[in-house]
Amino acid sequence: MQTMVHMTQQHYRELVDLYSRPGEIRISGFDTSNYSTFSDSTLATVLTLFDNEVSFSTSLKQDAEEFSTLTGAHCTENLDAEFVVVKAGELTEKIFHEAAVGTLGSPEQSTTLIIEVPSIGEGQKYALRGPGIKDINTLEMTIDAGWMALRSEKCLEFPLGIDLIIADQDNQLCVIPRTTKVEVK
Amino acid sequence: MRQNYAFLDENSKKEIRRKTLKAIAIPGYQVPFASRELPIARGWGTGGLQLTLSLAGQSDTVKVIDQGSDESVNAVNIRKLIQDTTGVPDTIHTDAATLIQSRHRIPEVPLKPYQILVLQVPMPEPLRPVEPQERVTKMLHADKEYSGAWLRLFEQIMNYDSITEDADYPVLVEGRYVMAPSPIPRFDNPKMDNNDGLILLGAGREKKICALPPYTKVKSLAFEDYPFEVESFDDVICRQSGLTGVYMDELIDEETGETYYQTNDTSYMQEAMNREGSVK
Repeated sequence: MQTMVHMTQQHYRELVDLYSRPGEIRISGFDTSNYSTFSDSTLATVLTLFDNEVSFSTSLKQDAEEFSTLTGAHCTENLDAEFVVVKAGELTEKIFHEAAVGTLGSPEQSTTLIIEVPSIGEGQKYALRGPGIKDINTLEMTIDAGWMALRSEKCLEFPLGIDLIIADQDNQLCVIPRTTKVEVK
Repeated sequence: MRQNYAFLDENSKKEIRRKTLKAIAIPGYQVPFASRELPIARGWGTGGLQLTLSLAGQSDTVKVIDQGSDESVNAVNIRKLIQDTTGVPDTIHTDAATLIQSRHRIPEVPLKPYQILVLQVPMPEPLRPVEPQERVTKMLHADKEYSGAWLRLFEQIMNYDSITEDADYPVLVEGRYVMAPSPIPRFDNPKMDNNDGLILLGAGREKKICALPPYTKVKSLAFEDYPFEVESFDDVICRQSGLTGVYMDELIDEETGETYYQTNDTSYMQEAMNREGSVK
């Protein structure tokens, strides 16, 4: 039987694999009605990770209300919230500048960006290196290299940094944690 | 009485899951989490158990070991709790399991990609023997100030002319964090370096989660003139199976008083003994 409990568990396991293997791609099989403007895989990630202890930020009021209603998470306008859910087309420098990177004592108190891009598997080519990657992983996605440069700047001083969960409109997912070195290919 | 799937309520699981993902993103760093009450006492594997329960799902196969054994009381009870609340099948074969919860050993069979090893950790703080205050050790980690950990090893060399730490030997993860790898024998330390699977460490009483993603550099602390050495079992032979070069238990035959050795990883020993042609 597939209930929300099992679907969030499966989605979490996909995220565990993706976090531990940056640049790998998974297709989310999460099946639920979606009244947000984001794709099913973005919504699945929200449903899996958000609850009433979480604060998040997203641009559209409709999405904010949908996520809050479904999970009890607290919507805020502050961009240093625990999660920022955003479409690649709506990324701004402010989002990267204001995202929390944690402190040296508590680097886990950082922002996770959930970015929805038009497509993973085509577009700009990136080479990824770091923990979780045997030699080098290549990843193609339709996100501007400028944004990835801002992300890399944010992650210069490990353990400080931001983690990216990237979803696309075909329900594919990948993760770029702060440990990963990203180069434009 | 019906329990929630995997015992923990969904909010508890979500919290553990968020913290676990952070731990994977910051290898070797101890992420604090709100350790939940479980039907076993803290300090008896609750950290590992909470990780396993937050991970387990319908397509998993679990293996639970305690000091290398699938059949000790602790391993059996933890496995029963996992199975009663999730219904997942169990196995003793390391390569057939998707989730392995272990106390004090990393199995002899190397982890495969996408396998997850969950280690139960009694004391996750490698600096605790030199600094009792959590507030201070947190600062020391922030400053990458690990003189205490080095000094501890140095003092052992001064006193005994060798490093005497035989379990929970501290490691340096990706050149940044010094981590306590739970009381696995030194013998198992090299298995963590650049391994194929994901290793998660959960400390229930101390409320910390730590992670080692695959292909992560994990170096045991050592000095140039006193390099890291593992226990050698090359010159001893397992009395049951004839295996050598694996981690052994030293036992005493009660009848003859004679010392003998036996492979510590019981499922590995059983697999070796069941292999065709192994009976001489």
